[in-house]
Amino acid sequence: MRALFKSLQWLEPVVELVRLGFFLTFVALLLTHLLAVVRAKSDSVRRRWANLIIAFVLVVTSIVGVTQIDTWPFSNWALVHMLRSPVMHAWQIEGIDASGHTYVIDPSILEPVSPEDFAPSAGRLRALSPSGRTSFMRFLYKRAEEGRRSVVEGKRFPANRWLLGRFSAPYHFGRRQLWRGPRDVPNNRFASIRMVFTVWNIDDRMRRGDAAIEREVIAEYRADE
Amino acid sequence: MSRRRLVEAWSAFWFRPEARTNLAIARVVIAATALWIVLSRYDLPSALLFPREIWDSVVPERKMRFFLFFSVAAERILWMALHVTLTACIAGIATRWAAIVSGLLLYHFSAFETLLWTGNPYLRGFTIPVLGLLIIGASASGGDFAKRADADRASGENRWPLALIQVLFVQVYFFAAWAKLYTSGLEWMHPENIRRYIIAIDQWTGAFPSPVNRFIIETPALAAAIAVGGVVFEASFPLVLISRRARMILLPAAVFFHIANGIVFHIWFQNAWILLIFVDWHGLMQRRRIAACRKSSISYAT
Repeated sequence: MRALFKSLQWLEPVVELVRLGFFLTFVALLLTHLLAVVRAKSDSVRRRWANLIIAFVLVVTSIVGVTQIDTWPFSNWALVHMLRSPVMHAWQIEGIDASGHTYVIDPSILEPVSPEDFAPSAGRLRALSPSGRTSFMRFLYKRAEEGRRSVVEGKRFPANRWLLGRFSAPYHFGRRQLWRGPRDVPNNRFASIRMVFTVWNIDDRMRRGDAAIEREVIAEYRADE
Repeated sequence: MSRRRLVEAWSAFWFRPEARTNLAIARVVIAATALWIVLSRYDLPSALLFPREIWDSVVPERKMRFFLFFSVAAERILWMALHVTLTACIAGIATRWAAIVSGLLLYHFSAFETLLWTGNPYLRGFTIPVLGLLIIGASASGGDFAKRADADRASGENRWPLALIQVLFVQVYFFAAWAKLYTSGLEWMHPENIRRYIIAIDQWTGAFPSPVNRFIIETPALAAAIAVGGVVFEASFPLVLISRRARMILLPAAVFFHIANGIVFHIWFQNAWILLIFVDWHGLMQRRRIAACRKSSISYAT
């Protein structure tokens, strides 16, 4: 059923509004119960509204859960649920300094958006017009530079750790922090950055390390542009 | 089962007498969890400043769904307001309205992390707080503690909101198991699938392969046991709703499950703290009070 819905792209706007409808119905039922409480309605009236709320939530969440068609905040809770292919696709941003040394840019520069949630946007780079690609890459360059300066100056990095430091709530997938200190970044600004798509076989990479990774440079941006 | 017995069972589950304390503590735990995540997402409204080329891919109806109509400046004001309402909710200030406003703002802001990709911002830590705080805000007590200890009269009106939040929480586990079997069938539990996930996630997150992961990868029986054990645990978690013995086993198992997930799969469940809503805090406090009374009456007698 999910595949059927996915194939009907034109339906997406309608589905989004239906999902909003479910949430608003939920809120409306709750507020009606609240009104019954505030107006000191009888126990039986309040219980009727409570039963309606319970029934609504149970029906909606059961349908969402069983069919696996999400209607957030009534979620399908699908996670790590597919059969894992041995082929991995990923992306990384690389920064090149004036001497030509390449640094892998810590994807935390994108916070508060996580790398996982940014991935589809990175995937759209190929489809953008040249001016669109330039704008996109200029944004990434600015972010990379802000991150680099924070690290060089010893400020808190990444941004999400601004208050709670290492006790900050993690993203769902915990990633190794690439930029831990000034040694991990150049002192001077990046001369250019590039977006690189990578693909590898997991077993091949276990044997051959990074040599197993195939790379494709999708877009580049020079600081002087 | 006759209709009468069904109605009795329904009432016994949803409307049996429950102390206000347990719902009030649920309010504090849920709001505190949400605030912890909010404080760990620096300037979330700044996601709107991502390039137009990225936001162009988001259909207008999805923005409508999450009420994304405002400027960045206005969103930043709302974001600060969320900090205030969550703090008020935790502190018990204007509890009911703080809970409702927090729930609505969390619904609005949940989408900011993921909207560039999906309109299903689950597993970012806000789903249970959105639903839970709205339910608590609309409840008879509004999630407040009783004013005096002897005024904490048990009522079904305290029970159904707490039970509903507990049901929503156990669905996280149950439907996670269902999703695996629905999408991939029994093959999901094949040791090769677990081996691939461990290696793939290690490589993708940049983690150095740990001795634990290396051992699991090299031991198919252990990988299979992890897969089967994980799915059985998730599928059986709803038993905590109806069995005290199940709670005593499955709640500690859940703590272990989340720590193990973090270490092996680098998957962190920000809402794990919300397991605390399954503890009978009122019962614990009662037992402590009785024990203290007994102790003082014994020392008085001697």
